[in-house]
Amino acid sequence: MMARRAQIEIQFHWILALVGGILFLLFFFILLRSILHSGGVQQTQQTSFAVQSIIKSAANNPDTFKVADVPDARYRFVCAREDGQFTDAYVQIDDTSYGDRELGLRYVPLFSAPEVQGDQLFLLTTAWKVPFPVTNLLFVSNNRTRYVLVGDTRTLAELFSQLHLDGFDVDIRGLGSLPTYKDMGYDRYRFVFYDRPASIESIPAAFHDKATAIKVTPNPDGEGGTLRFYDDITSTTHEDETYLVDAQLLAGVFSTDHADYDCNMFKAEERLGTAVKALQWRLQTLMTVPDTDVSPACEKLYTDLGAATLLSNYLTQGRDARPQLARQLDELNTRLFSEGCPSLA
Amino acid sequence: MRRAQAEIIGLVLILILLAVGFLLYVRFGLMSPESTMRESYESTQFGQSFVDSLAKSTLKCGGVTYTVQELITEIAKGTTRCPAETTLRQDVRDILDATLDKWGINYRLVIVRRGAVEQGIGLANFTNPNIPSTERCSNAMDTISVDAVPIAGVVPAVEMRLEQC
Amino acid sequence: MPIARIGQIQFGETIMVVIVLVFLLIIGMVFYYHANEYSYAKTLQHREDVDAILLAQQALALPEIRCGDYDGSCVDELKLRGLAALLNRSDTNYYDTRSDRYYSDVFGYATITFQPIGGDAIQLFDDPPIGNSSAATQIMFVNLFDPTTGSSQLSYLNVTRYRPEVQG
Repeated sequence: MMARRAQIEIQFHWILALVGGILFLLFFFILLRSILHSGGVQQTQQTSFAVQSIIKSAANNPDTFKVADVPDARYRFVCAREDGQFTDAYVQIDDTSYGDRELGLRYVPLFSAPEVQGDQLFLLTTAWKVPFPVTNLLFVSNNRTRYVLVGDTRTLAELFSQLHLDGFDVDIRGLGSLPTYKDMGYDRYRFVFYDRPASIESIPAAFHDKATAIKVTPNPDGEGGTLRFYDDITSTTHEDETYLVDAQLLAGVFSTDHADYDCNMFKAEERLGTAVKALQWRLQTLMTVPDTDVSPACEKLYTDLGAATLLSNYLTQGRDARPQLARQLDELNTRLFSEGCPSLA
Repeated sequence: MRRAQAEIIGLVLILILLAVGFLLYVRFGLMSPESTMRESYESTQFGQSFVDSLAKSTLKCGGVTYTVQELITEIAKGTTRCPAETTLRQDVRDILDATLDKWGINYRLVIVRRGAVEQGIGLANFTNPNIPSTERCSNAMDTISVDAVPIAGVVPAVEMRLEQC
Repeated sequence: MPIARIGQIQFGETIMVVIVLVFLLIIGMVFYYHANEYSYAKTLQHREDVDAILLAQQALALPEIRCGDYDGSCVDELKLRGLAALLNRSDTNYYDTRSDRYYSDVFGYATITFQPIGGDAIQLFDDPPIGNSSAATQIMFVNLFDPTTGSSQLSYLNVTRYRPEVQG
């Protein structure tokens, strides 16, 4: 009887130990799982914060290029608008979307490939001037996107240096070499036809799913030109835009497609109105406040040269008038400078 | 049997400590943010912006407008045509009174010729007069930041340097 | 000692071990929770500081107020006053609602002031949140250029970034 009780007690101990052990392990399993989950959430938050900080910091420093190390992920920068209103402006990191406010990118004109995957971002910032600075344009890419410049190789080499593209993956090709161009395994290709007829049909079929094209036609005087967007390289359908300065040319090259270019240039132009109004206030102060050191001769010059009207025209006339306005402003400032008067902008 | 039981308890205690230690490692070790992402966007640029902006600010000496940088160059070359040292010293002192002194920052602003041995150019170092003299920033103290701007046009090179202690 | 008695003692010892186990686990959990909370608070503070730095850099980099030669540390005083007038809600002459709304979105809850040394402050933007909030401040130096005299005055930019506290 005693032996039987002892046996039962031993078994009871074993059962108890087993149950206790299972509960113990279960507890740790649940704890570990919750730690990993909250760690994942924190990691995502830290990633979005880091990306936001990197992009904002890059956007604040014009005429700079930097390579930023970021967590290995898939980045999508989306800008879309309809009927003049923004419908979408967000960043997607892997499968998580961050609204424009969270990442503060609603007001940063950012031109990039539709998807940038990897652990590095290449960031180039250029000031957009008309000719006074309005805002900074940010161009984002990585080492898995290739830009193929097609045209006269000597001209393209100069263009390459002029646009500060040395940090990006750029290939320069003559037009004749295009049909035999090989896919080197990049995620995306952007063909840029410069000052040459765009032979879209000469782009090999291997690139049809992963490439877009743009044709750049500079004006004969070298100031500005036209951008022709071929968003689908299997057809010749296109959209045209004029560009005034190199910053807009870069915007055309780096944008996903015409809609992306249009949407982000709209972000840039939102700043133009405020910049001009601040300049109008400045001009009025120069001309009317009696205790400034501006001489009466300068005040008369501002009136004679139509400075106030020129600034107003920036607000009332459209995009196409801007090249002429820029030329007029440059001439006006040159004249003011020669007379020892403060410039208009 | 007692000893065996004591050993088992000891083993269990060790296992628990290992488990807690492992949990803490997972939480703080594997899940901590990558410090490599802390780069230029974190730089406060306080000290560097001070010396850069001070060098480019203008002042009048003998009716002529100079930048601080230009006046230092004149002083270093010995080609001044106005009371440059006095003007510069007063101007910089006024600026420091309104900023770093008021904020209680322990600093040392020096304008020196660089070389194997640094030489002054006739301008005394600036420190915070609101801090007791024995605690003021000096050569002997550890600095938390050093920011400098080179003064162009002088050989041997001169620099204006802000040290924060 | 009878076997049953030994068994009972052993059973008791096992129970004691389990109790000690659970006790240690509870201590560990409490410690972990507090450490986590402290770490999270530090992370939030760090983010606020970085936010304030980025806002200061953004204010200094505003193309609307930078000097014509686009020097990194130079702000045109008249352009700055012009932009400040557009965003000054108490200035009935120049206040522009559209610009105010735009920059409220760009800057968020913040106060941005330029202080010339020995001169009057120029408040560019002021929009603190209603209710309780935490704040982080940054100071950066800049030159304020007067286009009428050609002089360049040392000034500092004082930026305060607010983060409203979540209620409930």
